[in-house]
Amino acid sequence: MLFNSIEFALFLPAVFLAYWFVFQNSLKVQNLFLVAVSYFFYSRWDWRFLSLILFSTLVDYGIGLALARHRRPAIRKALMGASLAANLGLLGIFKYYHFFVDNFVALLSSLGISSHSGSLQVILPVGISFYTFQTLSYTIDVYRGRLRATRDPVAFAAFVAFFPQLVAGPIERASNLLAQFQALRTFDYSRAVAGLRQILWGLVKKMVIADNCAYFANQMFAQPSVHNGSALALGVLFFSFQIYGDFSGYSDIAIGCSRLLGFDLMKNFAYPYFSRDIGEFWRRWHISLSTWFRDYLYIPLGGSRLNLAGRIRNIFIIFLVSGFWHGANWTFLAWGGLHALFFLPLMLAERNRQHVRVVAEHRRLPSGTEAVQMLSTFVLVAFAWIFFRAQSLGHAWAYIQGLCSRSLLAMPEFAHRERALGVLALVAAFVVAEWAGRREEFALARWGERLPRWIRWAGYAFLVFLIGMFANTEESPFIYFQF
Amino acid sequence: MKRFLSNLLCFAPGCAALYLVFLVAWGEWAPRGLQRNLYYRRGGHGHLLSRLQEARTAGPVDVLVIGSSHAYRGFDPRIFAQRGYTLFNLGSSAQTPMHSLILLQRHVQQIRPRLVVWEVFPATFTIDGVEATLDLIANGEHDEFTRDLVRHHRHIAVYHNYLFSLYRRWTRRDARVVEAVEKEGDVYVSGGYVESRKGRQRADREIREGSRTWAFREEHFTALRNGIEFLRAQGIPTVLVQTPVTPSFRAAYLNNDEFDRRVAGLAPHVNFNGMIQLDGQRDFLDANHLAQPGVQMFNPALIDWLEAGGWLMPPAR
Repeated sequence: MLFNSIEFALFLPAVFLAYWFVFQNSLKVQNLFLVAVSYFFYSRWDWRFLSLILFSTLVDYGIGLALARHRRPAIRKALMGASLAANLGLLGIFKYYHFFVDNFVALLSSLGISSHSGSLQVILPVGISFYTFQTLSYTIDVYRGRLRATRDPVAFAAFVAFFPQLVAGPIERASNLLAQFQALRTFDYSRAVAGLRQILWGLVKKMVIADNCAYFANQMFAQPSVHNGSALALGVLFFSFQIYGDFSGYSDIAIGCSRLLGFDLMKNFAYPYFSRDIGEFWRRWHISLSTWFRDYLYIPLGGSRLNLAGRIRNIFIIFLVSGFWHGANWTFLAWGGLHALFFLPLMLAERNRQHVRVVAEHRRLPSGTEAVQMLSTFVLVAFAWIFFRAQSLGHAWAYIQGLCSRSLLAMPEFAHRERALGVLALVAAFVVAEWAGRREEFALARWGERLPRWIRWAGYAFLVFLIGMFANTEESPFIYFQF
Repeated sequence: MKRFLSNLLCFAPGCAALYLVFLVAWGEWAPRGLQRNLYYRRGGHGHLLSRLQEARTAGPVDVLVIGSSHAYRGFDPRIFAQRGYTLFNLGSSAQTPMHSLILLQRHVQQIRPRLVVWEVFPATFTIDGVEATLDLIANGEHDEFTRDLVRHHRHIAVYHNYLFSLYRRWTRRDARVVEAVEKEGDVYVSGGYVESRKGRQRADREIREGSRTWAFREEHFTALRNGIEFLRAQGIPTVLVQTPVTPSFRAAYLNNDEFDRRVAGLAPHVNFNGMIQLDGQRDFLDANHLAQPGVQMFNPALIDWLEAGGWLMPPAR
């Protein structure tokens, strides 16, 4: 069930009404209801993979309780190891099996040993990378003594499977989300209205920006050899806004839906394309994943307290693992490696935390320097997206070769240029809207709050109209579902 | 909660009303590149407006042609007239059998053909028909068939176009649209035909032989069967004709024979691919549309075939 489907448009109001009008009297029953609807939501993709969610839930709930009982470090380590093995084992089998087997076979064949990869076809379950990381964070926090193990299996099951963020995040921490399942929720008008606004803005990002950019990005990436350099540059631009609109749009809808049900999820995006350097970009892009890696990988590895060689090693590890988390393909490793290279000069100059506050915080427009910094950061990020989007390293290389040709300065040549101009106009309007709202949690958060209600409502109606005017008429899943 | 729900209930009808206002404004003033789900082209590509206006006074004729753009670009009334036959062409872009049946139901009483030549192209049996519906909404009349089509598709562009066309007709703005006889190199010829004076439009995309299959939709075969039954009930015979396409285009598809077999089971059928020698460059506009030199070779061959089969009786000379 996709957020941008009629099915979900019926599902969410039904859940909302039942949640607040039928099950509001008992926290336990309300949580149980959320578990049931979350499992129903997930089963609309493939009910068989519910067993994996159940497995992950039972393992980490049980290990959490066992960690609470045992004080001996050896036993606690063994329990933590079991949780890591179970969760990462699931990921290894369902996400990375083909990658390792295929590369092993390729390695053997390069050594002159013939082999074959067998016929086991493993399907990637939707959202597995997200919920395994979420449950892992719980066990690690309990192991570290930063969180008390829960004795409420229903609340824990709801924390693992909570439908708004189950398949593509934000990857929540138990300290934030689980605690909310254990406290009585009350309906809050302002929070619900903010939730609806965020859902609306998320749908605009996905259906107006991302899906329309996708049409041209797909066209360029499908056949880089038949397009000239400037068309390929446009393809990268379109993909940059496709992936941002798609993923941050999903996060907005997830956070908005949660607000309707009385939950606050963590922020996942903070206007990343207005970043002035790569360090700032990574504090603003997929925040729930970057902070996960920071807290559970980078800091345990020694973080920035090591000598120079150790810090460089840690940077590469974190970015390569982050790339590999996205998919079992060398292209994602290359994407992560590129970002590590982009980040390295900042770290060496100890300037990776110089841009912490929002750009042009008290001004309407950026300074010339800020504009150049944002543009150059965007160019670096967009260039790295080529590897993220490409099917293989060869494909990425072919794209870059086509891009870096003399035709980069020629007029772009591709089909449906009139429509592309329209999409570029939409992207430009979107950037202006995001810039205007960059100090807020999301661009629409406080839009028009001083205007009369009818003008504000007309603005919302206009956004609904834009969604109708630019919606794809065929199903368009979110990109991050594949991760 | 009460305030939240009452606000939502107030917002919903206001939003619906404003949606219509924005739709009208967008249709009137937004650049075409921004009209993604509103493709309203009265007097647009394919001269359907001129054709349907002429159909109101046409007939009786010897031959009525129905079908896709292959029909209005492939059956020239002037060539038929040279052989002593009258012909009217009711083709439209991407017309599926479902749309053909609607046009027949609307116009056959007026045109009163002795024979219907139903142009069948496999591609039109694979598509959803939205393109043809949008064309009919903008250029045709609005009746119960139109409303059935709108309900059938459940497609947002169809809803938008229908609502926009209601506004255009209500304000009589559509009545003022006059379609040019010649536009973009296409010339409308009385009798529903469109002659292209542009020559070869583009090189064929390279499609590997046998690399594709037609994915047919059963609803189109059902509509074709219903159309033939409808004509039979009127006492009008039907023949199914496939116009020539380039050899490379035809060879790209694996299941052409399946299509030929299925349509041949419904009515007399002829496939002109391979029956006449055509030049891939000179005789075609693109991979599957005939250019005028191609039409001048195809039409006499078709007339010969129809006469030989007894479908047309040569006029006494």
